[in-house]
Amino acid sequence: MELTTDVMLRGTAWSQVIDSFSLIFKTRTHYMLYLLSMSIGIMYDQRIDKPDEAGEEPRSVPRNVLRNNDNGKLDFMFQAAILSTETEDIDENTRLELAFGENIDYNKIGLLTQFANYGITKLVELIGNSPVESMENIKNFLASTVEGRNLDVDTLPDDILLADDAY
Amino acid sequence: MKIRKIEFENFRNFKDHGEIRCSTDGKVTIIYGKNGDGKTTLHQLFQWVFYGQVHFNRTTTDRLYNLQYESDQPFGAVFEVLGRIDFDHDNTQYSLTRTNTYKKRLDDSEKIAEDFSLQKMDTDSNWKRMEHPKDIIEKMLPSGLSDYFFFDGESMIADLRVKGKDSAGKLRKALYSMFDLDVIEAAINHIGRTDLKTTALGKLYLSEGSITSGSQISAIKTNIENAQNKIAKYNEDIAECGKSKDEKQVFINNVSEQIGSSKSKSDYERQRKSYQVQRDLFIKNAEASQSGFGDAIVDMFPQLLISKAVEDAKQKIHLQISKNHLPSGVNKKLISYLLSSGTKECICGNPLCDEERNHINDYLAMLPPHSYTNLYNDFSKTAQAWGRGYNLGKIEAFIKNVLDNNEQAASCDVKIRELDKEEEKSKDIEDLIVARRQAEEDVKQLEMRITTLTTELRKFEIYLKQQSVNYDKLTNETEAGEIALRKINILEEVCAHFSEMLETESVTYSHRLEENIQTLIEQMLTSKRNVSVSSEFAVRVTDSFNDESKSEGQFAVVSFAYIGGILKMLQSEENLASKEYPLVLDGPFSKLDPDQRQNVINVIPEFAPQVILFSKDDLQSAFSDSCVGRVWTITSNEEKNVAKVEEGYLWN
Repeated sequence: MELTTDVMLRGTAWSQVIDSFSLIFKTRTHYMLYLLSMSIGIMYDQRIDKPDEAGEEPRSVPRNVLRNNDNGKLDFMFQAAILSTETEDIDENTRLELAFGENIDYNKIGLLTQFANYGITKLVELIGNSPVESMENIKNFLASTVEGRNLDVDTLPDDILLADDAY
Repeated sequence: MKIRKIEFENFRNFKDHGEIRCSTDGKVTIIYGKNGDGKTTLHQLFQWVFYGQVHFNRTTTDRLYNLQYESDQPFGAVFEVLGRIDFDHDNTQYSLTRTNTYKKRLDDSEKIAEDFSLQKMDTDSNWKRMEHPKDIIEKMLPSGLSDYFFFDGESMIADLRVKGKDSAGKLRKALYSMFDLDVIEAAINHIGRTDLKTTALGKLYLSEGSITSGSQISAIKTNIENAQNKIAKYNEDIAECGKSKDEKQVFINNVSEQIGSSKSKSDYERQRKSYQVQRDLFIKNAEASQSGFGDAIVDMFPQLLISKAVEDAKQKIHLQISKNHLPSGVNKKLISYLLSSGTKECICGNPLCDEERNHINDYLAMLPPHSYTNLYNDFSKTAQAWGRGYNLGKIEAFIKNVLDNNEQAASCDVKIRELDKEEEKSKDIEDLIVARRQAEEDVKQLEMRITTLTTELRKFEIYLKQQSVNYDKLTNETEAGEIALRKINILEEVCAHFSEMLETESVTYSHRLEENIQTLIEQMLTSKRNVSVSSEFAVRVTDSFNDESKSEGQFAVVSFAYIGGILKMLQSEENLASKEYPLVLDGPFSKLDPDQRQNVINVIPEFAPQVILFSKDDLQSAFSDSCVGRVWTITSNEEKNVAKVEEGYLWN
């Protein structure tokens, strides 16, 4: 994947997660959280184009960090995402062409960042009062996801109780 | 300036009145003294008399008097500590005197007054006291450069070794002031930025919206001003908390030193220190496990999380394979034959037209390397290579490790508190232990306060940015806004011009300093080294492998070259050429091997028009007779607490 610019991580969620998890994801905080959030977004098959902002200074993943650590991961992520997503209304041939063709007009990193923008909103929910609490939350979330329990409804809003009488 | 004479009385080791007359004819004045005789004390006398600064340890800094002299005084007696320096400046004689007056109390003596006077000899040879002595001295011998005129080699080595950045900052400030670059810097700061309301740009920015521009603009302008005030206040508070925290930290170190120096308490102090080391280690381990957890998560989970998407993708490719089966018997060789320009007929005998050729072309896409079978294989291979190995145990082990280490650190804290409690019972250091514990608590509180303030500051910075965007939108359409914007653009250009000017000058001076130090290093150091000086005046001395490590001796030579380079630069500067600066040097000669020492001694007389040298090593034979001026020797009693200075080289 050709990377000509840094990836901008805009919005409140990114700021909150980066600030809270910087001691846990210490090696390359922004890159690590970008990758993790992206995979969460792809898993949920949810994207956010414009994340909620409150005037935060955007964070970024420098393109050289992406290039040095990528090793084909982003291409693979994009292929898996574009071939499986239902958020993009395109036919199968176009998907295959985008995944494996030479088309450079499509903003591949943009799509991945939109998935990451969704994923980061899930990570916000895992911020604890201390690093250990956050670690425990992250572990529980990821473990239950991988073990298959998280793909169904995770929690239900309290409003549902009001509907109880109808049944 | 040339120093003619220094006088002292009741100053630390020097109980009786004493004086040292210095050579002013370009020859080196040497003052010999063994370890503990009072060389450093006399060296510091210069900075005390000129600037009121002393760098002894904390207790002695408050008590400059001689302890024997003080103990001989009756209760309530008033006595003085005196330091005087007579010097010539611009063909006029001056006499600078500093005195501290003390009053004897029961256990020690209290400083009750300090006097600082400068007298000038007029044409009739009468001494006349001058007004504003501090300002006059500052002009003659800028305090910013005092560490370089009164050069303490030992501290400079420590400084260069440990606090390279601080040294560079100090030197930068001093040189900026000498070469009037501080004026340019002040101009840049005065112009400032649009988001700093006390600067010229800040004021102009806010003038974009006048009262007549409407209530909406006025309201936003007020918000901006409020946010700026808050930001300034938070920055001030953060700086203040940081300063208090540093002071508390120094206090804790000093108290620890005092407690540790009490013999009966050394075991306690050792034990306490050991617990502290252990605690720090546990905290460090916890942090390492924390970051190990993060690494493992990113290593393990992304591929596991997208495994469903990968499966979907694989299925799609697989589906495509089945749709794109080549008819049996069709292979690459056949397709190539049919597509070659010479082939006019198909193998069945029918003619090959464009339509047939396009059809055959489509078969090409089904062949490797573009075939879907191939893509499927590649994709599956990557999926397999990249993601496997869900290991919850590994992740949980990191969390357990953090918890264990945090617990251990907390247990060390408890032990430290128990130890403190135990020791508080012993009366003599009770106060110190309580004070240290309090200071440690204060540091924790201050750290928390800094974190809170930083968050608040961040919020207001964001708020300010939001308000500024709205303000820009509204004012851009007004006439006042346009005028102010034009002025801002002009002022920003002026600022850019000054910044460029400062940068160019800094680079010029740093290059000059680099050349000077390089020349001196080549003259003095027996091993080859490259010198580089950044535009921020940070000095690096490296070998050809860019390695900065140096032996003690090499560090000492580098410190000589450093000071020599600076003084040479001052001498070569046109504006300063008429001024003379002395060099009073407490040099680390004993760290040098004989070759290097001789090299250093050969160049030292060139460093400044007047050189006064303190040494614990015999340098008589190292200097040529024509270079050595007056020589003095410090002698002490057995306890090394009463010393005197006599003229001549008095060592056998």
